[in-house]
Amino acid sequence: MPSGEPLWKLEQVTKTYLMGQVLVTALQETSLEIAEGELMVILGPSGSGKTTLLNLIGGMDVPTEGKIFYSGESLEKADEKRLTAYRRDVVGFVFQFSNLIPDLTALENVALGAALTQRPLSPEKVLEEVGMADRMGHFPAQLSGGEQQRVAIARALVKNPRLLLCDEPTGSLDCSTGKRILELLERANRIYGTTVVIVSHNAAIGRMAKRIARMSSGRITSFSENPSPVSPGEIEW
Amino acid sequence: MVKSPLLNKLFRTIHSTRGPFFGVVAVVAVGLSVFISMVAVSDNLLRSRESFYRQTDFADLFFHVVRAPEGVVEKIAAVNGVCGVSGRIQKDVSLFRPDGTRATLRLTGFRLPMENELNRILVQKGRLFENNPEGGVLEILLNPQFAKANGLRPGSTVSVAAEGKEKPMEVVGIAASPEFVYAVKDAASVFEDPSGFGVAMMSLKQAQQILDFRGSVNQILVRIVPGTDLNRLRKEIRTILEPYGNLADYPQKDQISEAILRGELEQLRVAATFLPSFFLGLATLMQAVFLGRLVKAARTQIGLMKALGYDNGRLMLLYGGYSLASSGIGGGVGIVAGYGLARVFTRLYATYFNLPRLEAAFNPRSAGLGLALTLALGCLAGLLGARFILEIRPAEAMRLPSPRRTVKLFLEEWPFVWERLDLASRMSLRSIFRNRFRSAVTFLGVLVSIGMLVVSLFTRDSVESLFDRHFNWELRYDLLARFASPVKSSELLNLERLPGVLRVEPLFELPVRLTFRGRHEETVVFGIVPGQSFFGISDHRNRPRGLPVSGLLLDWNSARKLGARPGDILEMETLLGKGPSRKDRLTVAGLCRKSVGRVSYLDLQTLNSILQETGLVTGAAIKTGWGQSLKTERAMTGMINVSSVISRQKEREYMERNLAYMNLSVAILVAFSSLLGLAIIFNASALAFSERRRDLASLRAMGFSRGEVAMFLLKENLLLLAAGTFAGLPFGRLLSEGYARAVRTDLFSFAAVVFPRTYLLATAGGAAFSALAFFLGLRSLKQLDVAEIVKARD
Repeated sequence: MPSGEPLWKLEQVTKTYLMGQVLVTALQETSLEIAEGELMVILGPSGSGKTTLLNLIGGMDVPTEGKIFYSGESLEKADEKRLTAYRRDVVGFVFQFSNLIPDLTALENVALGAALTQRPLSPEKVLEEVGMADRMGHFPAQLSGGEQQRVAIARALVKNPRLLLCDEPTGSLDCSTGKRILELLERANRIYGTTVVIVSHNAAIGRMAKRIARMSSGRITSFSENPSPVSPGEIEW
Repeated sequence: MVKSPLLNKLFRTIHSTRGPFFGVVAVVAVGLSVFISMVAVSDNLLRSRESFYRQTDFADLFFHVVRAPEGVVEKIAAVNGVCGVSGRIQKDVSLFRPDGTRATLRLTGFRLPMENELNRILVQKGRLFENNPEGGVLEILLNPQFAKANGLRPGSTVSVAAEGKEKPMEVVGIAASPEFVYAVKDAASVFEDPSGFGVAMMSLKQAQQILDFRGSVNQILVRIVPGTDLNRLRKEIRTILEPYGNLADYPQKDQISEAILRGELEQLRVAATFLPSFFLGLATLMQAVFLGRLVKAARTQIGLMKALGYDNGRLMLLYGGYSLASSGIGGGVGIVAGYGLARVFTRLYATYFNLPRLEAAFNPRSAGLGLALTLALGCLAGLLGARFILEIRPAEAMRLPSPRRTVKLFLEEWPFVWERLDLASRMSLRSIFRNRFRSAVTFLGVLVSIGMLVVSLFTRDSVESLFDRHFNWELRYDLLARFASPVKSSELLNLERLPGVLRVEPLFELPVRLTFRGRHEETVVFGIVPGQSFFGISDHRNRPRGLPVSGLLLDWNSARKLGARPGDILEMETLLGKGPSRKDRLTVAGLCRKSVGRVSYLDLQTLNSILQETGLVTGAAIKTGWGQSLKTERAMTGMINVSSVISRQKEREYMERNLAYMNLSVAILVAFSSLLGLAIIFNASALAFSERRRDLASLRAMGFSRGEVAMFLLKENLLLLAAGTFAGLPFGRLLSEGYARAVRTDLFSFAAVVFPRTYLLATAGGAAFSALAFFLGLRSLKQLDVAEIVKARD
């Protein structure tokens, strides 16, 4: 259980999809609380429901059953407009594949995120912070995978979101590049106080979080506390 | 039996991309239906013309003389190269209608039996006239348009003024004549109401009696041995006819009805090449672009199939099959729609052209040609679009594609411009220049559809402006009265006394032959008084001008044919048909231009002195009080020497009523151009959407609303749409000019006039296409599964 008052609360959330003629249950009666400023890692094999859970927390989808609260406000019945506003103002996403816009330079991709909110951070400064100061004018095609992911993190951070949701952010990167990305996420949590939720199938990543949730077959099977999280640089996989 | 998996894949690909697929099908179908219908109508017209001319033995050469003895026919028949001659009489007389108005009837006498005569007629209703009918009744056959317009049928009786006497005549039938396929009095009367001009066919014997032409003829028709030198023969026959007052001679192609029919066929030929080439060309490009995108999107699948052992040829066949399928379906629909259209147009032509066997027949040649053309273009599009298959290496295709390459634009070198652009515009501009071929096709498509919208609407503008110029500026009288033969101008006093008449101005219409440096031109000279106010005269640049103090104001078209310029001296021979022919030399004082017909102007007094006469006129232009012209026209009923009266207002009303053909083709063209624009935009939007799905999903995940993302998507198309529309307007103007030039004839000075209204309507079309692009984007965005796309590999 987080120490502070939870800002996000999921109660008995179930999500089912109709795939063709088969009803697939991606998430079953799952409850979860996330406190503001927390860094949490959700671990599980592929198909365990991690991404579905992340999408529900991020307002990309609504549950079939159960409740989701953000700051006391219910999200499960929010309409498309409200969910868009929630994603715009509260959430920052980092995906496994950077999903940068190929027709915009690194700086412009970040500025695109900044354009969405009232009080964004400076795109140049955020890019400097992620170590991309000298690559601002480059297009995604001119950047390596790790660099693209750093720009994607900058694009999420520039909105100054309360919650940063990262779906397998190191999934497509080699170990050393992956560690640098995790360091950036940890830094965002430490310096800006951004709540960070990372989902991964890589159990080693769990060592950087204070709290770890484990998933299997659409359910959270356990929560564990880590009294002494380590710096991502010390993690090996 | 198990179908080939590749064939299954082809069907499924078509099904999953059915929107753009049918967009291409629509454009191919439109292009082919225009082609098929125009070729079919033109074939129908040509075929029925050929069969009609052959059946009736339409003459090769026409000679008009004042009066020649019938025996001259044998003399001409003996000329080497001549294989058939007919002598006959033709003269215009007045027909009095029950409502007091009059019409012009061209009485034409035919020798009986008709079997060996030229320009025979084909009886469509009733029976043929006889040489000696019972009780000496004057029997005539009428052309169907005139009979219909005047409610005349076999058994009706009409009253005609011939040689100063009123004579009753009995209509015994309705007949078609090869020289009146399009019944029109002369080149200046192309716009005249068919109820005001008709053809009365009767036996030569009766015609000679009532027109006081016993034993004489005034027209010689000649059929020549194929391959004979036409000019030599014309010269030889002219010499034989010299003593009888040569008035005019012309070959079949210059005969007025044939000239109008040829003009129409030429228009159809232009339309059959001009319009379908745009549609089919664009359909090919659209197919190539869309196929290219399909191949790129299926890169992994193609790599996999290559890894499995499929060779380039079979894979090219699979994707090429996609464009062949759209061409095949489009071609099939186009052929069916083309014949539907051909039937409509043929029926419409049948109301204007009296060709007895004009019917819409299925023409396997045009269908086969059209289908072969679309399939060939389908193959070309298939090759162009599927060529990327050759570049795909199986091992590379399995790996995640790297982000699309983008380079900096020249615009980025100008920070004062670039920095003012928002991110969506920067994205769009870069995307446009990255996908140059695709952008070029969208731009071209919009440009052509906007251009075509302008062309579709311009014909209305041009005809309206031509009407306006002709009826409001060139002709300002209310009635034009023509006398049966020249009269003294003092006779005009009788007209001035008629009720409702405000002002009468004299006119002498003199047919002449102009000669300059060995070139001849037969035309009409209007003798008018200086300071007259009923004929608006303009120079060759359409600027108003007056009658010169001395010399001839030469028609621009005639000047062009003769190669004469102001200051040159021409020889003029009068061809009045009454009295001796006179020759004189005249200086070209200036050039003039009329929107309908060809007319040169001369001072009335000078004209009289050339004829060695004084104060003669052949007609009068009359201005009546408001709403009085019908009253005045009726009051002229009793004046036997007045051969015809033309009402400007009636002529205009008739023309405006008869724009059905034009309105129909304008409506069809507008529909087709809009369809082209819609298909282009639909496909461009579908392509932009499918290519940017991941980008758009990322934007949605970041928190951009659907509307905002749709705007991102629209901006790219909007820039191309705006550029295409902007360039499409002058392009449309150019096309209009080209089209006007291609269909311009000696009879019509068809100027390309485009009203601002047309540009506005075409721009509105562009705006409608943009709105459509936006809504298509919005609709696709609603179906976008954001969560699924952002986490997927590709």
